Amino acid sequence: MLKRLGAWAVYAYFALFLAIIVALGSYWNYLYATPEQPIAFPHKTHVQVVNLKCDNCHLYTDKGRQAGIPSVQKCMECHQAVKTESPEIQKLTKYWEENREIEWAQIHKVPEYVYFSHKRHVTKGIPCETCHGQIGYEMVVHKAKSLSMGFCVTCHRQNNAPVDCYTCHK
Amino acid sequence: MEFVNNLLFQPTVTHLAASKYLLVLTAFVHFAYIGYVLGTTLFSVFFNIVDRDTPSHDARTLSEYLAGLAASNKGLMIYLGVLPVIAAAILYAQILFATNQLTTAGFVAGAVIVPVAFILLSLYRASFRFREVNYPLHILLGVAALGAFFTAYFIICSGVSLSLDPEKWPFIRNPAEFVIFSWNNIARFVLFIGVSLAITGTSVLFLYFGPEAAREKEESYNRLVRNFALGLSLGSCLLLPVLVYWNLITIPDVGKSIPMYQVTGLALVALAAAGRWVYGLLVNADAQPGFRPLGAVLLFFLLLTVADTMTREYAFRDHNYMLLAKAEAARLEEESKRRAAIAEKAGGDVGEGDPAQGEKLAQLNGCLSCHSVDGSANIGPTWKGLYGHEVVVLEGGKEVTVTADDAYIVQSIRDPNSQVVKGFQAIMPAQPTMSDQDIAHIIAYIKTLK
Repeated sequence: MLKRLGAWAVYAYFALFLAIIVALGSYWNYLYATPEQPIAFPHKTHVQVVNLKCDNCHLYTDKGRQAGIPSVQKCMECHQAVKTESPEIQKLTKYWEENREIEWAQIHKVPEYVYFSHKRHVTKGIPCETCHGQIGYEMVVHKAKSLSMGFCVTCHRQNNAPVDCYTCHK
Repeated sequence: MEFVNNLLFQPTVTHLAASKYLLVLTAFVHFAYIGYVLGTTLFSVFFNIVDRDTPSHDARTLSEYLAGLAASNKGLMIYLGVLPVIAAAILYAQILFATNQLTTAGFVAGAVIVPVAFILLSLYRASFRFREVNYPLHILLGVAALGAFFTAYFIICSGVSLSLDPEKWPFIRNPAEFVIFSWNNIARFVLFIGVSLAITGTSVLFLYFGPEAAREKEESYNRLVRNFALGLSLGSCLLLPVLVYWNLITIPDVGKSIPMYQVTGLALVALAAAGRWVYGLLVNADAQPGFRPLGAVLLFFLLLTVADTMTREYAFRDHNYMLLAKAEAARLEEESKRRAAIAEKAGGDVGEGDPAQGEKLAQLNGCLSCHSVDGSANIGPTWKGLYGHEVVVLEGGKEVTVTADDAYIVQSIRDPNSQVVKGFQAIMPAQPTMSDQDIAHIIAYIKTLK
C-alpha cells in the first residue's frame, strides 16, 4: 500500500513539473509568440525578389517618429495588376474595395514611457537591421531583438549617443 | 580568432543544416559520455575520502570500481571524450561563421583541458596501487582530474549559452566576461551536472547488475552498490525537473518557441519513466535492474539536446539570414564574373537578341506584370510601339525628351529610377541579376511590338 502511494507520489511530482512547463509554454505563447497577421505578407519576396528598399513603402522612416505602415493604397499601386490571382492579394483587394485599412498585428513595440524616433536613428545612418534584424529575409516578421533598455543603452554607449534618462524618457 | 573564418566555407543552406544535425549527434554522444565519466570520477573520489576517514573495505572497493568505470577504455576517451570537442568547435565555427567566435574559443579551450583531465584520470586510476604509499598524491590526482573536467565544462557550457544570446555577441569580446554574463550559463552548467549524476547512477545500475554482471563480492558490498546507485539515480531524477525549469526560464526570449516547450515536456515524461522504474527498484529489493532506467535517462537527455537545438535554431535565425545573404551575394558576384568572362571570349559583344527568348524572359522576370504589350495603360508604360519613338521622361525633376533606343532601354532596366517616364511613379526595381545578353533578348522582343 505504502509502496503504491510512493509510486503515485513520484508520478504526482513529475506531473507537477510537466504542468509547470506547459504553463510556462502557454504563458510565453500568449504574451510573446509571433502573432498571426491578417494577410501573409512576405518581406522576403518584396526585398529579395522585387528589390524594393525599406523606404519605398515605409515612407516616413527619415521624416518622423513612426516609420509608417504602408497604406492599402500604397500596396495597390502595384497590386492592382501584379499577382492578382493570389488569394492573399485578393484579400488585399477586398480591403481596398471596402475602403478599410489592414489591422496588422504589432510585433515591435516599445512601452509608452519610451520616446523613440525613427527619424533620429535613420538620419544618423543606423541600418534598419540593427533593431529589426534581417527583416528583408523573413517570410513572416518576428521580433529579432529584445528592444529592452539594456539593448538600447548598450548601442547608445557604443555609438557615443547620449545615455541620460531624459533622452528616452521624456 | 579571425583566421578561423579563412579556414572554413562560406556557409550555404546545406552546410548550415548538415552542421546542425551533426552538432545534435556530437553533443548528445559526447555530453552523455562526459557526464558518465564526471559522475563516476566524482563518486570514486568521494568514496576514497570516505574510506580514508572511516576505513571500510566496501567503500574502497567501490571507489576503485568507479575509477575503473571512468577510465575504462582509451579508445572511448579519445573517440567520445576528446575528438567530439574538436568536432563541436569546428561545427560551431561553421554555424557562427564570421560573427561570434567565443563559443568556438570555449570549445578550443575545452579541447586543451579535456585531454589533460583524461590523463590525470588515468593516472588517478593507475595510482590505486600506490594508495597506501602516498595517499595525498593519489587523491590529488583524482581531485585535479575532477577540477579539470569542471573547469572545461563550465567554459564550454558558458560558450553554448552565449551562443544562444545573439544580442550579446557584439558586446562580449573578452572570455572573462562571457562566463559571467547571464544566469543561463550557471543554470546550464548545473543542469549538466544533474544529468551527469542521473547518467552515472543508472549506468552503475546497468553495468554492475546488468546482463554481464561481474558480481562476485559479498552481500554487503552488493547492497552498498545497489543503494548508492539507486539513491543517486532517484535523487538526481527528482532534482532534474527543477534544473530543467531553471534552465528554461533563463533562456533568452529570442530562442524560445512552442516546439522547444513541447520537446522539453516530452523529455520530462521520459525522466518520469526513469524515476518510476528507479523507485520500483528501490522498494522492491528482489527486482533486477536492467537497461530501462539508463535508457529512459538517455532518452531524456537526447530530447533535451534536441530542445536545445531548437532554441539555437530560433536564436540564430537572424544570423542565418545574414550568412545566407552573404553567400548569395558571393554567388551573384561569381556569376557576373563568369558572364563577363564569357562575354570577353565572345569579343566583348553580346550576341543578337532573340525575340522569342525575350518574351519568355519578360514573363519570367515579371516585366509583363506592369508593362503591357497591347498599348493599354498599366503600372508602367506600355511596350507597344515603344522602340525608336520619343519618350518624355523626368530626370532629376526636369522634363527631358529622349529616344527609346538600345541605350535607353538598357539604362531603364539597370537603373530604372534615373529617368522616369512622365505620368508614372518611380517604383520599378533595378534588375541586377539580368545579364547583358538577357537584356538584348528583351530589346529584340520590344522591337517586334510595333
